[in-house]
Amino acid sequence: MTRLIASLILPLAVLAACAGSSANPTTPPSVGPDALSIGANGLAFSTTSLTAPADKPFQIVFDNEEAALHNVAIYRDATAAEKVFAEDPFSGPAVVVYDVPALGSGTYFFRCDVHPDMSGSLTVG
Amino acid sequence: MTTVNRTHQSALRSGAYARLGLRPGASPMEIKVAYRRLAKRFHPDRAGDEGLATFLSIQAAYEALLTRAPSATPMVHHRPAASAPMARPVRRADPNPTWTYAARSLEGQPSWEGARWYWEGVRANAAKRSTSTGDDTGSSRTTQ
Repeated sequence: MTRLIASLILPLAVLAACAGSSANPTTPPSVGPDALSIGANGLAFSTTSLTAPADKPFQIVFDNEEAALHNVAIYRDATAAEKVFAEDPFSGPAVVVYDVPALGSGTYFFRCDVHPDMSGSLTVG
Repeated sequence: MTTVNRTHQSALRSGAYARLGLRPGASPMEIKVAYRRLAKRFHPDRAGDEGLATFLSIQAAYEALLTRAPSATPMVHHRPAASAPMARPVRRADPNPTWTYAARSLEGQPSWEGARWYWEGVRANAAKRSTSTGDDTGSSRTTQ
């Protein structure tokens, strides 16, 4: 009986522990229907243009398809002086879901911090 | 407040120079060379995950010095523009030539013309010398 209870509780505890963060590549992410999608392969992003709603948190599903370290870091502009959102780069193949806080309308700049040539624009509005 | 910000910015820039192993006030070219040298060494594509933190700090320092500073000096390209003509030395004719051929421009003339003028000048000069040898003073000026 004790083993039965333990076998039921243990998986639940593991799931509860994993639910806290969606940025860990090993965590099964919960993705909303409006999530943006971008990939990285061959030291290039799959798209250089993203569009998100203004003043509303959104998600970015980032699929790093290669072993090189990549991330999607969002900056106020191309000078990369003001970081708006960024998480640590990770090596693939792995998929990470970024939970980006609400941003004001405007055009932002995103890039991979490890490979600054990989960049694009994020239009919020 | 502005002073505090300036001090903070100055400290950040000093730290950025130090991160790149440079003295404060290094030129943009020196910054670029130092960044490239360190990036080659610590880029995660080469150094692996261990180089990530160092690389990111190097990159932040580079960007702080070259792209973010309000007084950032633009990169100076020392190569002259393709359309810029090369400066050529200007040779001016002697206003009081001793040698007769020296006052004549050879520009635009065929080379044999130049040779002819040269030897004409040599002959004329030899004639002047032979005339002046009759002078007792030994001066090169012809007496009348």
